[in-house]
Amino acid sequence: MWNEEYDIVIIGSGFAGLAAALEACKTCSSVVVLDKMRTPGGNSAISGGLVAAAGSPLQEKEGIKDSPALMLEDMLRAGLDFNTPALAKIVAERSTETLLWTIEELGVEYKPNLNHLGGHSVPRTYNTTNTSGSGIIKPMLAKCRDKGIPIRLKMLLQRFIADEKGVIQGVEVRKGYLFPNEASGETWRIRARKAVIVATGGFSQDIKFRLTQNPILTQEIESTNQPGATAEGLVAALKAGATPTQLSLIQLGPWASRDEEGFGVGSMFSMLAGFPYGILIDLKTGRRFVNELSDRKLLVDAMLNTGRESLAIVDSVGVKYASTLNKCLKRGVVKQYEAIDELAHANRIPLAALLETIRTYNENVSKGVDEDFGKPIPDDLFPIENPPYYSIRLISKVHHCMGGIQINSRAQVLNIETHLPIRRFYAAGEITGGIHGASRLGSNAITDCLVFGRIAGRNAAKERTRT
Amino acid sequence: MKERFEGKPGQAQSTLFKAWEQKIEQSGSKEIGAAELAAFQAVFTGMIEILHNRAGAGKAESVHQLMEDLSVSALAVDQAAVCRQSGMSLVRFVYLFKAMVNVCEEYIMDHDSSIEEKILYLTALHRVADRLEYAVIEDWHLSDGDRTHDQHGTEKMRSAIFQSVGEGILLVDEDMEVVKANHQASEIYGLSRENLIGADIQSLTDRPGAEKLKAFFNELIEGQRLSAEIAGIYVDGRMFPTRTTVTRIDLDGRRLWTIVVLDTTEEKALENRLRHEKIQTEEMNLTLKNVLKSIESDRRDFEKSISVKIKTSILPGLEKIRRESDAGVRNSYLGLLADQLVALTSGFDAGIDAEMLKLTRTEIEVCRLIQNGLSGKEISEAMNLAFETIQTHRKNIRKKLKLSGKKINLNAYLTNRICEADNKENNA
Repeated sequence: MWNEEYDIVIIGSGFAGLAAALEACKTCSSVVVLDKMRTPGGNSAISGGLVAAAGSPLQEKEGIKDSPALMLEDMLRAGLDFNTPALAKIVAERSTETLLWTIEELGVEYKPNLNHLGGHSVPRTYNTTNTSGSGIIKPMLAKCRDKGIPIRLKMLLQRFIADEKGVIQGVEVRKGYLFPNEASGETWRIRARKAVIVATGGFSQDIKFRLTQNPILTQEIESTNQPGATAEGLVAALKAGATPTQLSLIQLGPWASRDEEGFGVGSMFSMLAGFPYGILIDLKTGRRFVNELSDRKLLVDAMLNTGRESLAIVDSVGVKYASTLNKCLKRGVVKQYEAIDELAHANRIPLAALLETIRTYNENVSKGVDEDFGKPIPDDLFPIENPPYYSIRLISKVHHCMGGIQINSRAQVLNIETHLPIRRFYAAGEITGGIHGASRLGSNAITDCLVFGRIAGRNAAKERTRT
Repeated sequence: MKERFEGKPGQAQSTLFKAWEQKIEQSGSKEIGAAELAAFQAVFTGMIEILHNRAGAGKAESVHQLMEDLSVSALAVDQAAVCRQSGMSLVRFVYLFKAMVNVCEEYIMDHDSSIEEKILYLTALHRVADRLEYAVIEDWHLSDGDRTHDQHGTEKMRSAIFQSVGEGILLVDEDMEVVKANHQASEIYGLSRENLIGADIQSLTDRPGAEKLKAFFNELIEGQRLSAEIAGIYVDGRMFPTRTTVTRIDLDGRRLWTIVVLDTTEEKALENRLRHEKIQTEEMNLTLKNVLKSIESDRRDFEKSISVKIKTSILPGLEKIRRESDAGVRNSYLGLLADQLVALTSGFDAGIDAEMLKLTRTEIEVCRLIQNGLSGKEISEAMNLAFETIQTHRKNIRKKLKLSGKKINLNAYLTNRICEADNKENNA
C-alpha cells in the first residue's frame, strides 16, 4: 500500500511548511517536506519579506510603545471582527518571539528601521535586507539541508489517506509532477507514522475556484501570487473532512503596479514609500481620495468601487525608503520627473488640481494633522516638495485568501461534522482561515505562517509514533 | 460601345489586354510573371463582365450597393490571393490593377459614342474598380494578419523551445541582472522565475565563479562563446558544479549575455568514479611491474647461484670423476653428480648433495661401506686401514655434510639420501 514512510509529512515548502519542519525536527528525526512546484518556497519566496511584531527590539530602540494587545486590536479592527479571536491572539502574542527565532536560529537579516504599514496603529514591521521573503526562505532551506530534512519537489498532493475512523495515515501524491500538467507524474503513497501537516497556501491564482467564492474576481483581475497558488490542497483537506471557513474573503492588494505582472518590484515601492511617505491620487481629478495608510480592504474598496485610476506620488525625501527603487526605474514601473508639471503632463493629470492637492497635503503635514483623510503624520513624514518626483501607476491584484480551513490553537484541523480535531492532521499558513478576518493587515501573514507553522510542527512531533 | 462590350466581348478584351501589357512594358516596370498574367486576365474578364452587366443595363450602381454583392469582389480577391502567394507585393498588385483601369478608361474615352454614354461607362468602371480594389486590399491585410498570427505562433514556439531545453538559460544585462530565465534555470538554482528575474548573476555562483563571469563579460566580442567550469549555488546554499557557457548578444545598442548552465553534478560524480578507477588501475600496473621486476631479479639470483654451484660442486666433482680409476667410487660420484644436475633445474635445495661432492675418494669409499651397513671395525678391515683412521674419516665426513653436533645417524642419513636419489632416478 505505501511506497515510503516518514514520521511527519508536510505538504508545502513556504513559511508555514518549513517552520513546521524545522520545529518538528527538534524532537523527530524523520520529517519530509513535499512541494508540487519545481522550486521550493512557493509564494513565500516572492513575498515582500515584511514581518509584523509587537514589542520588538527595534520598537524599543525607537521608543515606540506597542503590545500584543494593541496588535490584536488592529487585527480585529481591520478584520471587521470576522477573526477567530483566540487564533489572532496567538499570532499577536508570539509575534516578537517568532521574529527573534528567525534572527537567532535562522540568521535572517533585517533592515535597521521599522516600517509603518496601513492599518497598523504604530510602526511594527520588520523588512528583510533584500526586501523579499526569499531573505527568510533561503536561511530556512539552508537549515533544512543542515538538519537533513528532504525538500522533495514536483510532488502534487492528490488526497489525504485516512483509516476507517478518519485518522489521517498519509498522503497520495503524484511523484514527478510537472506543473501545470495534470497528467504528469505517477501515483505515490507516503505514510506518516506521526502526522500530516498541510501548508499549501492560498488560491489567489485559481481563477475557477476564486470565482466560486467571489464572482467579481474574474480572470481579468491579475494576482500578485506565483502561478502555483491554486486550491487543490484546500480541496483535498475539505474532502478529508476539514471545516471550510470564510472562503469568500479574498484580499486584493492596492499597491501593485499596472506596468508589470504579479507582485513585481512595484508593490514594495508603494508599501515602503508611496503610501507612507507619499500621496495616492485619482488620475482624473488629481485629488486624494483615501487615507494612504488605511488597511488594504479600505484602500482597494476606495480604488475599485469608483473605477478610479490611481497613482502614488512621492518626492526624493520619501523615496529613500523604497529599497526597490532602482529596479522599479529600470523596469519602467516607477517614473521619475524633475517637476510636478512634468509629472502631471506625462500622466494626464489636471495640473492645477494636482498642485492644489499637494499644497493642501503639505499644509496638513506641517500641521501634523491630516484634516482631509486622517492619515497619521509621524515625525519623519515631510511635505512633498523636493524634486525629483516619482510616480507609480496602481492596479488592484488578488493577493491573499483570508479564508481557508479551520484549525484550533494547537493547529489541529477541525472536522466539519464533529467540530473536533481530525486526528494526526495539522494545518498552518494561508490555507487556514479565520485568523485575519475580513482583511489581513500587511506584514501579518509571515508572522501568522511562522507562528502556526511552528505550533503545528511541535504538536505533530508529539504524536505517538505508529508502528 | 455597348455592342463592343456586349456583342464581341472577347475581341474587346484581347485588345484591352494587349494594350495593358504594352503599358506595363513601356513603363519599364518589372516583367509580369506567368501566374500573374493568368490572374490578371481573369480579373480583366471578370471586371468587363461586371461592367457589361451593370453599365450595360444602363445604371451605375453606387459603391455601397456593389459592396453588398459579395460575388462582385470574390473573383478579384481570389486572383489577388494567387498573386500574393506567388510573392507579389500589394503595391505591385495595385499598380498593375490601376494600369488595367487606365487602359479601360482610355478605351472608353477613345470610343466614338455620346458623352452621356461615356460618362455612364466611366462611372461604372470607377465604381467597380474601387470596389474590387477595396476588397483586394482588405483581404490582403487580413492575410497579413494571419501572417502576424503565424509570427505569434513562431514566438510561442521559440518560447516553448526556450523553456524546454535541458540546460538552464539566463539572459543577463549590463548590470549583471538576470532579465530572462527558463524553467531549467529555475530548477537548477531552486529559484522561481519571479526570484530569478532581477537577481544578480553573481549571487548564483561563488567568488571565483563571479570573477570568471565578469572576465567573460569584458572580453567577449559579439557572437563569441566562452565556457568554464564554475560553481553554482542552490537556494539552500548547496554548491554544485556547472559547465557555464557565455555568449554576447548586441540588441538595439544594448549588450546582453546569454548564459547556458549545465548542472554537472552527475557528470562530475561519474568523472570522479572513472578517475578513481584509473588510479586503481595505475596502482595495479605498478604492482605488476614490481612483481615482474622481482621475478627478474629472482631469476638472476637463481642463475647466479646455479653458476656458483656449477663452479663449486659440479666442476670439482667432474674433476674427481675424471681422476678416479675405481669404477665403484666413480659410480658414486656420478650418481651424486646426476642428483646435482637434476637439483640445479628442478629447484630442489641440492645443498646437502653438493656437500657430498666435496668428499674425498677415501671418504666416499667409507660412506659407501657405512651405507652398506658395515661397522667401523668391518670398514677398517675392508679398507685395510686403522680403526682410528676410519673414525677420523667419519668425523670429517660429518663435518663436510654439516652433520657435526647433530643427532643424526650417518648410516641412516646416507641410506635416506641414496634412496631419495634412487627414487628420483626411478621417477625420472
